[in-house]
Amino acid sequence: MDIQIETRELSKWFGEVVALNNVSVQIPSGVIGLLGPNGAGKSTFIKLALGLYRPSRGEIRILGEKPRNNFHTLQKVGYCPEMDHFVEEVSGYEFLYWLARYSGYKPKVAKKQVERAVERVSMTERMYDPIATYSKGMRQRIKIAQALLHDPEILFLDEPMNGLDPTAREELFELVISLGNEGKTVIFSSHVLHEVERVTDTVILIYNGRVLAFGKIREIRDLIKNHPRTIVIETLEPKKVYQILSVDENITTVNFDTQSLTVHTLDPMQTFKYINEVFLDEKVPIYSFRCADEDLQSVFQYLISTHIPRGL
Amino acid sequence: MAILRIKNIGSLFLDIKTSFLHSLTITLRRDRFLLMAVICVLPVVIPIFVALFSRAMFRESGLEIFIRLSEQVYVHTLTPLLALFIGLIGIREEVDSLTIVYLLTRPVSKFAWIIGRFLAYMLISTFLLGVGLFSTFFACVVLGSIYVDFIGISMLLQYLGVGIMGLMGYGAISLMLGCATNYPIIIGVILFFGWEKIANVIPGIADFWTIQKYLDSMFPALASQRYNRAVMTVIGSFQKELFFVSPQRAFITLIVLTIIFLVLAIWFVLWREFTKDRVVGTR
Repeated sequence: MDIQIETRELSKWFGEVVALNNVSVQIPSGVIGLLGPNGAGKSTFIKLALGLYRPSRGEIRILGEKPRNNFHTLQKVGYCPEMDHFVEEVSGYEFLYWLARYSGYKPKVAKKQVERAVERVSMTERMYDPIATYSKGMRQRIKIAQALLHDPEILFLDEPMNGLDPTAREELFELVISLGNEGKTVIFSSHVLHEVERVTDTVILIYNGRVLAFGKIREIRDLIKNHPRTIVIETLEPKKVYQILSVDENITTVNFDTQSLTVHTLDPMQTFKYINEVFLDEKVPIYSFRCADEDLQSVFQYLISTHIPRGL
Repeated sequence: MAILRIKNIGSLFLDIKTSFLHSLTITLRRDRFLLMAVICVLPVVIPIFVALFSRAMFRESGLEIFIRLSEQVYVHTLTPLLALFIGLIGIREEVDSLTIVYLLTRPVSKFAWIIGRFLAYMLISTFLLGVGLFSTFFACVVLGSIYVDFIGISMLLQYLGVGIMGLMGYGAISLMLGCATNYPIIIGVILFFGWEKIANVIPGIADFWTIQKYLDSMFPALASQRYNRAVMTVIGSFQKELFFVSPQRAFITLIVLTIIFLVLAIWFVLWREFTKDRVVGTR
């Protein structure tokens, strides 16, 4: 396994706020999803990998070298930042041209690199227009183009799908997959599970600055499948509802409120079915019932509460 | 695949050239460039006004006006202003808009980046200062007592030289402030238009910690004798005792200070983290 990125007890804090906490991972080549909710530490991880931050503790190595102020490493990495900042009055072409020059290309080569990168993100027609006139999606594409300018070995895409329309999203998915097929390492950061699923089956789950899991998405899916699910039932007679539901063996715990009760079940489909069947017969007034933990956030919470070790 | 450079002296020069040309193309289309261009040629109206509206027997000579404008306006006021407007804001724009992140993730030498920026600032500022000084000189020639001859042109070039030294000193400090602090403009204004002015009138040797001290030392002969600096308070008037520095020493001092502040600027770029994450618990 060729290790592209390696961290050892990597931590980063800003004042008293811990942004990344004791992260030790070895990331191989290929497309890797960096998955976690907003504020989890994904961007901090990427910025540490790019050398934009100094580690507060531990170390990070990109292709065996420390990245900070290391132009050898920077020659091999591309970065599409999450933030949306440009010199607005310049054209996309000019913006990319100067970045290509900063990457070490002479004018003629820089021009060709820009045209190639712009073509990959389907922005050739608008490349001479001022960036100020671009839509959010176009700006996003230009950011991706600048990351591809110098043909990097490792590409960091921080929330690249933000603001893209469905067509552009599909194009970007295909681009990321093709980059992976070309043998490049793509770190694809997102807080949306299905976005990551479109491009890779390998993810790093990161939450509250900690890596909770690193592995295949299906294993995480299994975790979602196996962990007790929460169903909230709104009713005026929670005790009566409880009495009826108590016969369901899948229900592990129940919490009461004045007009609702929250049940945890090992098999939500069975429990839903049971609720439907039984309560229609019993004529108990139920206003609504819903699954309260379908989202990724709940998986993170579950992983934290059950102390799943890193590396599934 | 295109060829990526291998870092050596050649590629370092390529980096400097890129940074220089990039800074030049960006700055020349900025409004503040036009503003500074107007400000730099504005003093020309003074000799023109004097020539038009002042009676010949009472008015100052062209030589006096030229010296006064060169020293008080161009060297003491416009050089630090150019350093703030062209040098400091040029760097600060990239830091504040976070477009610096694109540069910091390129395999470009930070040394080359700063030097390129500095050279572009020097070229633009020298051009503006030069245009202003030349225009003022020729306007003063109209008033007489100063002529387009060897002596006149020598004096003009000497003031231009002092102005360039001022641009170097103030520019290097501005670049350093732009890279080191979060409020460089405020600090720059306080330093250049507060501290520099106060230190040059209060008794003692505080003036040695100013750029102006060394610039004054390089003015044409007798320039320093025109000043009779004093602080007037309710208690009394305190005469400033001047310790002179030779023009040669002043020149070397300004070169050394420029190098020191440029090195500091490069060090801050290498050391600082120019982007902060919004993490849980922060704003």
